[in-house]
Amino acid sequence: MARPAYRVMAATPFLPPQLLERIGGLDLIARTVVHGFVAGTHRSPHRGAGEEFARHRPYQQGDEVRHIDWKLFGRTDRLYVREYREQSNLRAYLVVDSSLSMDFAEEGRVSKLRYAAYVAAALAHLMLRAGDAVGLATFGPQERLLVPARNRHGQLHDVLVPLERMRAEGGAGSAAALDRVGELLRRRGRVILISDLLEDDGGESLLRAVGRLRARGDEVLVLRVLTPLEAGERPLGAGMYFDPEHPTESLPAAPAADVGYGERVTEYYRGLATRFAEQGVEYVPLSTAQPVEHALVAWLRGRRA
Amino acid sequence: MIEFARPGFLLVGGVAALVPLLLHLIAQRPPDRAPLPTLRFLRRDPRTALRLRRRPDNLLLLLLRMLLLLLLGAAFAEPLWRPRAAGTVQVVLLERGAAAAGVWEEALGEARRLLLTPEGEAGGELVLFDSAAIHLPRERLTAAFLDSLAAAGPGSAPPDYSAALRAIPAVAAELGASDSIRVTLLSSPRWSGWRPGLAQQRRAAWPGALQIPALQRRTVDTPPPASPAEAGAAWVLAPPGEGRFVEAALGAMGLRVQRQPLTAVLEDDEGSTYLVLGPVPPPVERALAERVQAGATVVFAGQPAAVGVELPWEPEMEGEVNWGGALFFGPALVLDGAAGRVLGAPRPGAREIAAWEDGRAAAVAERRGAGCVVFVATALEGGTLPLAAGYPHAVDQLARGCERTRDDPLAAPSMDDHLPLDAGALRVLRAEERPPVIASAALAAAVAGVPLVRWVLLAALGTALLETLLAYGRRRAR
Repeated sequence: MARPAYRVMAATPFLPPQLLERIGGLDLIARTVVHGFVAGTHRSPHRGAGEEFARHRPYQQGDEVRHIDWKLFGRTDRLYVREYREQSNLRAYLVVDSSLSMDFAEEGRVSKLRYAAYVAAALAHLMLRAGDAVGLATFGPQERLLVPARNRHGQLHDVLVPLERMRAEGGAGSAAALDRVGELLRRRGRVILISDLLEDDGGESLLRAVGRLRARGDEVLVLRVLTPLEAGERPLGAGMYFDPEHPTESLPAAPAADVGYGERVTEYYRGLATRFAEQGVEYVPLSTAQPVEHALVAWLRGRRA
Repeated sequence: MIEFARPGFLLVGGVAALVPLLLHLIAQRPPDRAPLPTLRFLRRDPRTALRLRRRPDNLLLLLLRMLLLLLLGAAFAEPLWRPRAAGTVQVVLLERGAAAAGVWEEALGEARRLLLTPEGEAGGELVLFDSAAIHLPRERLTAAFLDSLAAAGPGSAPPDYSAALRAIPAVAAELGASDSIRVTLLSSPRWSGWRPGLAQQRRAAWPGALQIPALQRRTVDTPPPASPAEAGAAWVLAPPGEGRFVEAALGAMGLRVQRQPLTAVLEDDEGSTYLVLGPVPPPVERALAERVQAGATVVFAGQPAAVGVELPWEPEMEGEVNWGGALFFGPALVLDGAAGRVLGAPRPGAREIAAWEDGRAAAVAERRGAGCVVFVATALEGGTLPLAAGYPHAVDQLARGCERTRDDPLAAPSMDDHLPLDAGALRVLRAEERPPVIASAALAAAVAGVPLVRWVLLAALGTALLETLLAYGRRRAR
């Protein structure tokens, strides 16, 4: 297995999404994000039952001395520690919303779709490192299973490639994709939905699908992606607006002057959050202005719980 | 003060500037739409709808395009910056040539009245001209100068009215305090001052009316013209239907004229002048020969053969040729339009009265006894000869016969012989239908001032450049 050629940055500040965009492909982004996250949280590789050697990595302050590979040191005069892959029987699916509404971006920022791709890539990387089998599904024009859940050599690449090529189209809801994924998870698994949750029916079908997954015992994590403009956190000028998923209808509006706009948006997502909570679903609101690592923190929190 | 030599182009530019405005109003694009996935949470704002409908699109581009067309119209209007001026200046064209000899004192008196204020200061501009024109500096225009001019008298050079008129724009260019001009010509208008093409040049040089006061001509040394009773009698012998032009010309010269057929028996009248316009029978010829011996002048026109009267002409061949030409009676008397000529040469001893343009003799005279025989080698009423301005004078020259010849220095055209301009030519020169006062800016080609055309074109260039950049930027943004 090829060893990464880059140095892990200790105490790396979380990178804003627009800066990630400049780094390059999702593979590099995912590794950068994850390593930055891992370095920031001072995770140490642990050894336990069912673990197998995964790879070497350069020694970092805080690593246990017993994990140092002295043979390698003798050969290279450099300190490396062994990392072990924790074998897991967990199968997880990343369900990414690729409908037209996800193509929205503020000026100078990445689109929601691109942001969702970052999040999905980082989560895939983490879960595969943790020994989970990870698959990918999207929904836009219709639900689509892009990558079956596996944990094998090259699986991360198999997930990242369709994420990189993902394009926004269509306006289908998430329910069908969640149901499809639920059928594939023959036993308990994990479903991570990354979407803006702007459903035509107000999220009712989504809530029902989530309920079905929870009834089967699957772990469900919902990461809502929204831009500050859409959330009403930044003023939007008067003009003629249209919904990308319903482009024939236009609306003359002045969002900045519409006092209740932000409230209505907040109320909508608050309602969803409440109902997610009732079903034991962790709901994480994300903004495209935030670093991607925030999503990882949420995932870990949920995992520990 | 900014003036425009061709202000009509301002209107053209204004009308042209309306075109982009109309196109802008006609071709309004629907307002740009922006995507917003959370549209469902927005409330419709009617005021925004109104504002969007009314919002002019690309207003800056529209204004730049209108400005460009206005500037181009202004450039074609030839803007000129001149110091503010007011009042009308009197410009006097005073002829100091030979034609003014008989009216010199009167002309100077009129010039004094027009140009000097009661205090004796210059109140106008003086242009002296004969064959060329000179604008007298205003500071030199004084009563003393006019006195010295009166003492010096007129010159002897022929006048040139076109030179005088061409001096007017140059005078206008030097005017500082006045914004308009009135022109007066002080001369005894003569044909000698009329140059070919003057009628066309006249309006180009001076687009207004020309004041030409009637100056009483004094001919102190020249006896007043004789009354018709004293001027003598003339007979015109002509074929039927002919002779009226000659008759009118002789009448204009003050002669008592009678017209009769070629075959009529002459009355007994020894002192008359006879103009024979066709072949006469032998009895008439013999009668004419007797009249010549008795002191009459007989003019034969266009017929080479006269048996009873020996002509001072030796024809080269029988008949006439079809090409005529111009008849030169003297430096100031040229008649064009003769149809046909009789080839030949003067007999020895005959004197030339007139010549063709190629130098051949056209009219000769010879004394016979107490009278004179004149031969004219062309039909006096042929072609467009009778329509020439000098026709009466030419006929008069022929009728005087042996008194004047072309080579006789005594017969050199004197000022008395210079024909005055007829009513038609005077009307052209005066152009009374034009305004008497013309704005100096109308003579903008030579009017002093700062031309602004280049600056206006530069501004138009800058506007066009801005418009181009802005339009390009908008296209890229889309």
